[in-house]
Amino acid sequence: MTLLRRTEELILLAVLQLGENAYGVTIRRHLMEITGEHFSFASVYVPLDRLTERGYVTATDGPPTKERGGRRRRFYRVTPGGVAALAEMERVRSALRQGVPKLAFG
Amino acid sequence: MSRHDTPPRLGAWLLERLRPHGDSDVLLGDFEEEYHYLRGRYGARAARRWYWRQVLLSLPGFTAQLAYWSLTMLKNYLIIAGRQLVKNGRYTVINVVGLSVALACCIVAYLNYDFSFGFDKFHENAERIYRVNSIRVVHDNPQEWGITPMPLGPAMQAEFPFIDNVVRISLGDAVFQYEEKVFNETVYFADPAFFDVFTFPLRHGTPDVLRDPGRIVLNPETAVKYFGQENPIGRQVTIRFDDELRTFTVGAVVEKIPQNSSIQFDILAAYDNLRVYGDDLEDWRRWGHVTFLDVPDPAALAGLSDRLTAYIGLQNTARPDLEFERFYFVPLPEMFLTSDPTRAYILTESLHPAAVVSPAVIAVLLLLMACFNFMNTAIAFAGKRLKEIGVRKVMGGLRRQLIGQFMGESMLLCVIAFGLALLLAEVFAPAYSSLWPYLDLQVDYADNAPLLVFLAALLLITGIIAGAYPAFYISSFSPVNILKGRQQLAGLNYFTRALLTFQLTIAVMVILAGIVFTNNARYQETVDLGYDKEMVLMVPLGNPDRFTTYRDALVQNPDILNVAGSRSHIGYSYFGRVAETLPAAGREAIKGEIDVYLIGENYLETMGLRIVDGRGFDLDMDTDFTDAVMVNQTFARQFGLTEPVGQTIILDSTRYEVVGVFEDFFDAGVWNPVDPGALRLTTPDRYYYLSARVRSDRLDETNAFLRQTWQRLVPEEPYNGLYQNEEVLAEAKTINTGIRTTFFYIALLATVIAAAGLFGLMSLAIARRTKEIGIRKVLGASVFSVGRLINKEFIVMLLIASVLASVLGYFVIKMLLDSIWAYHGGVGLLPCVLATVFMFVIALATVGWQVYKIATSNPVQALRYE
Repeated sequence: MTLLRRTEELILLAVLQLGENAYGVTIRRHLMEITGEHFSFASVYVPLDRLTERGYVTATDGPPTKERGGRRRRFYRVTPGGVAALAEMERVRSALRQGVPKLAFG
Repeated sequence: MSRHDTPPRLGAWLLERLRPHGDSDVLLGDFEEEYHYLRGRYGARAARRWYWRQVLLSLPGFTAQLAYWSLTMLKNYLIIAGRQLVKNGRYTVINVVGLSVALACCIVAYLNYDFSFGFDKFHENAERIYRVNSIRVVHDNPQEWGITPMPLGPAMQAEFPFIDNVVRISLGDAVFQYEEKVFNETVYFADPAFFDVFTFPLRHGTPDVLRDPGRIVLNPETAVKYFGQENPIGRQVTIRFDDELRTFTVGAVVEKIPQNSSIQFDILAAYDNLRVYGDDLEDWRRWGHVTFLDVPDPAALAGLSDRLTAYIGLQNTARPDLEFERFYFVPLPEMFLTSDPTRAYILTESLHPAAVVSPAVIAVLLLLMACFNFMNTAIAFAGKRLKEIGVRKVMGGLRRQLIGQFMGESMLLCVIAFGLALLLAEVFAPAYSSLWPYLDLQVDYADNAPLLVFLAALLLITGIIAGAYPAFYISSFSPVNILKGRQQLAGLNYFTRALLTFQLTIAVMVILAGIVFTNNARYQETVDLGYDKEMVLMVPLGNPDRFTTYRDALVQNPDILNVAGSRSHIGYSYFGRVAETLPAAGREAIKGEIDVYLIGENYLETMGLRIVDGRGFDLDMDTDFTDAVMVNQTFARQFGLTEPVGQTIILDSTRYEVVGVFEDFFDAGVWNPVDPGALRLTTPDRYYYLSARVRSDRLDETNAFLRQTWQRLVPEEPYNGLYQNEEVLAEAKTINTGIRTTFFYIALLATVIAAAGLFGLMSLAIARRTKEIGIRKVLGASVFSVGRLINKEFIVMLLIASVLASVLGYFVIKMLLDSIWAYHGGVGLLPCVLATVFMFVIALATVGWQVYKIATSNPVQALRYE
């Protein structure tokens, strides 16, 4: 199993936090609020496509809405595989932190 | 509702393009949602600005993703295409081989064209070099001459300051000696600026070499011939011109001269050395060389031609017998287009236009044939893939994708064929070059930008032509019809029929051409040249003093039937003279140029010239040396002499009496019509050639005897004897062999391609009629009637093709023959019939076993089919 990339990990976490309400607009806003960095739609959707392909998230389309010009929202949910991938990241990280002085994290 | 209610349409369109494989709808929804949110909070302007910024920011990410997907799709198409090609192995091989051979032919044809159009273009200053030509008017008929009077160049340079340099080039025969190596050579002479004007890089030595008349320049082949691998600079050699012996120092060796250079030399010396031939370089009577001008500003040449009338006057006063009208200028890069007579034997000829155009036309036709084959087999095989196509369409496959799939398959095939073609061209180019002595085609893909562009264009065009029809035609089928089995593959519609007929036509035409050129070669080898070439050996004497001793030694040999001496020799040398008839009652004087041969004792008998009227020369009559002339039949006709014998004609302002008429003979092969010609008797002190008539079964032995005798009597000079028949027919033989060999292979290729096309369509036709044939057989049809049923269509196409090919081929091939030869074997009806029969046999063999198999098969099998 290949490790998640940084944006992929962030997006997975954001989708988990947003729960039922995780779609393009909210994911992007959420990421920008928390990280304080700018995210383009491409930098959200390209990793999301990859996560979908690898089976870490599933997508379901909601009903058409007026504020979107009659278009659907695509909601994302993290699969057990996605959760496992996040857990793997945690394991790797803590293993790497072993013995590194606390000071390093300020 | 203002236009700001919705997001920018162009931006939305862009986003849609960017996610063809993802869901652009969702993305657009996100953008629109955010847009409305921002518009509500910050206003429409800010929202639009945001929208555009986001579109631009998203561009790199989505584009990269798009590229990745395209590659993935391409991989998918390639895999499917590869599977298809492997599945139809036999047809893939036929198609790939046909295409690659045709493509390789195209590459060779292009190289051939490039070689021809590259003539003389390698000179760095080619754009500012001009050759001076002259125009003579004979019988109101302007003739272009490539030679100029010797003093013209220097006079022009002195008068017109815009001429930077003048280079005159001339040549002469000489005997070249270094230590014990002695050979006859042709020495070229050029003005000192030669290496400033022309680009001939030097391997050894310095470009100022020609400023010293005592130094010479060699080409690499000559340097190796005399000096081996050592550096010859500074070596002393002796050169004998006529009777004058001179010592020269080797001053430079040039790099190998490209074959497509008009200027070719083995040995080059300073122009001043021409004086050894007794030439007065300031004499306006002296002609026989070419003049090049180096003009940095070519615009200055405009109108110059009209300002040279003073020189025309000088020339015409000096040579009233050879009047010229004007001088004009030909740019060096265009010189290859000018006609042969202007080459003046000093410059090498460029390719005959027929040798450039016909390979190109044939190569393109072959490529078209191969492409048509490709189309026909692709359509034929689409029949097997109809279900796949139907399913793909039902599953939502776009027409665009199907087109992409078919084009992809065709392109893949082309790429494979192309790789093969590149390799094949490496074999074809040298093979083709070796057929023609003047050709040297270099395949150099790395260092040849135009060739690369040409190849890429060829690949693209081939792929499109080959793939377009199946791609657009097959993808247009309706899936419902396909899956219900209603879609009849219009296998043999008019289009495919036309393609096959075209292929067969070309194949029959090429076979016809092969037969005609083979016939012609045989005809021209055995054609009566008007004299007896088969029994004659000829030895250039170099010096007339040698004639008597040599002749006396030769006549001892019983194999030698006759020995003649002469100043001219058929196929070797004659003199151009102006002849004039006397005005008679009711008839004006006719003036014109003729070929005059100065002959000596026994020449008429030795060469087998035939006297048709009057008598030959009589050596015992002194007046025959001074007053008598013999003319040929063409002379009599063109000068209007119905009773030539006894008439008086004027040759170079001297009166002669016509004592006899001889049959027309061809001077050097049958390239040109016979010129009006005359024979005059000359004295032994001018015998430069010795001709021996020998027993035809003892040619080689007698030649050896001639050589031994020569070496005994004239040890200081090499023996240069030659066989008359080989000498005059050598060039025609080379050309004929080249054409014959080329057409043999082209005919083979065309036949194979056409047969492959026929085979493919036959399989298709049989596959479509399997059930019908089964039913017919059940109802009692014979093998013969089934065979006829299937063959009928193909035989009709073959007949149409044969008639078309015979009619078209007759004219095209005759045109080609006419453009090369004045006299040739013609086309004739028999070759047309032969070519047709040949194609029929091939076609029957190709389809025969298929038809036989189906016609003799058990009908139950056919009816159970599917």
